[in-house]
Amino acid sequence: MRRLLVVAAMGVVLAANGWSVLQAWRNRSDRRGGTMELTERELRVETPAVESTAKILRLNWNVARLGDKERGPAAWLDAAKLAELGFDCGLPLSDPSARRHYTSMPSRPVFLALEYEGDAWRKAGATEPAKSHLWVVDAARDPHRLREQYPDPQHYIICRGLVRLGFRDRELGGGPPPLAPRLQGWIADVCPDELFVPLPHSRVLRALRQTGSEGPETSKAGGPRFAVRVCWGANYEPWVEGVRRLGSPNDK
Amino acid sequence: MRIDARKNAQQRVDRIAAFRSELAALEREGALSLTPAQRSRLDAHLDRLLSGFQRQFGADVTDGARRMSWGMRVTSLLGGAALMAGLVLFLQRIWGELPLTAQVAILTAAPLALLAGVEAAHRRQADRYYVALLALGAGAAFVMELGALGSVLNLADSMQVLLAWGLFALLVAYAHGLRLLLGAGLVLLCAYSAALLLTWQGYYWAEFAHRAQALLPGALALYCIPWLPRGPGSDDFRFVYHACGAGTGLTALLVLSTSGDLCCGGLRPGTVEAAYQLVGLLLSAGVVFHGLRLNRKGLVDLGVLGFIVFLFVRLYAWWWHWMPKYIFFLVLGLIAIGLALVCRRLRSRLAGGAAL
Repeated sequence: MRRLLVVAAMGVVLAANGWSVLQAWRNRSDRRGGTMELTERELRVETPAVESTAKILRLNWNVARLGDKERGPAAWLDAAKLAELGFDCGLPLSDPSARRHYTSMPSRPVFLALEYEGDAWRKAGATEPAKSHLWVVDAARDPHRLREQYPDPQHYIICRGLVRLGFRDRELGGGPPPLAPRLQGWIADVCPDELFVPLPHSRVLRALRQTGSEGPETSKAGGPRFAVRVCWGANYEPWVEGVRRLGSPNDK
Repeated sequence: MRIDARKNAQQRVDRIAAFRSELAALEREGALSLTPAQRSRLDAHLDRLLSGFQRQFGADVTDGARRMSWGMRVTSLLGGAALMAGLVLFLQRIWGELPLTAQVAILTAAPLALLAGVEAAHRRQADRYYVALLALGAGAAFVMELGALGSVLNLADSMQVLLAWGLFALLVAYAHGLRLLLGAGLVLLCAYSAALLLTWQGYYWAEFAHRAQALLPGALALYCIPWLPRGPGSDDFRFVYHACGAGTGLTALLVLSTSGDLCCGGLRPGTVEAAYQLVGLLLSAGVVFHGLRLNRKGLVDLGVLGFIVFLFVRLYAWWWHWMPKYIFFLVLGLIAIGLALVCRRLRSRLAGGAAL
């Protein structure tokens, strides 16, 4: 009996690893999420906590926000859109228990449409060189609907993400309540937002000087130093297909 | 099971030591005196037993041996942790130089190698502590390995890892009779059931802390499993099921009692919070009485801890904001003294029952 249990435990390890590899293989069998060349502005090299030779890139994205440009809610995630994404927005906002009801809601997994150097980026001020050119422009529960709406896989990525709902009935800092409470939405995360760079592509990044986490603007001329070709596959998960160094700021 | 035999041997050794000490005290007080022949027969018998237990099971028969065993255990724990840390840091150092296939192979092999180590230690009849240490190492390696594999393959977080980790811990715990690993496995499976409920509702699985009520069905199931006709096995394992069920359930109720989740329709948030706190108080008291009935100190302690926390949270909600703080703490102290008196009375009643 004991031997059977040990063999079963080994089977669990093999099954879990096999399943992960199978999912990655399935993901890479179809590039339906889109293929894009992103630069150091959108993919920041992560500084490892301990000495590590692994190269990890963190996806740096933006979204049009209301109010605070760093932490404000997404401008296009209103109550109607949140309800469309599956949040239960049926309770009247004037109900005494509305705050508790809405603030206790966990995030919902959705599919996001990310636009590269599109209208959202231009409207937000394309002149800021350090800012990511990748903007989250839409969310839906069905990835096919998003792809139909944004059919160009060279400019629009469809990927997984999380949306969080917030209930706002007072100004930030505990100010007086506004006249009408409202629901707002945040893009909580893009999943996964870290990309592992395998060999041989990681060698290109290793040649770059480690710059820490101060931001993507790291070359002397202020432009990105490398470009990464990233694909999002059948499971809407990414992988790195190639990395190249950018010779000058005007290379991209 | 050999592990139980070893535990029983150590318990018998401890009983022999206590018997010898009590016998010496009785002889000093003149309540009992053995003839020299009886004495030598008894000593020979006990010495034969002790040397047998030491030879067969590696039991600690003297205080010095017991202290040395503890020292060896602490040293092994620190050494094992240092070895693991060294191995993980070495792998991080060379990780970027390895091709993807080698990375996947290393990650898969790590928990399997440790599991093989557990099996080898068991076959060599090593101390149970070392078997448990290696098994914990295998569990930790499996947790880190799946996380690293997800990172290498750029996979989105999946709740299935909770199921894999939980099953692994449960299987190894049953194979080697390990309570800590069983507890970890049960809590992971309870978390998996909560994540499953959240996913069915369309929410992100990892945020079950926001919906702590999702943990309650799993916690209830854990607590009740020992009552099934073909239960979880030994008494120790039954206790782990009860303790994990009670601990998870009471923690979930505590979270609900402070966040006032609105599962109860049109009730005011304050009413819902109070209801959760009162239910938590009653269930904590229930756990205490169940622990007393099963004669399980751990369960009693868990219930008492839950009762005190729920009581404090409720009293805080009632009195903190309007009562002068010194009176609040004075009342809290008086309530604690009252509870101690109740416990003392209960203890003397139990002691009286036992004496009868």
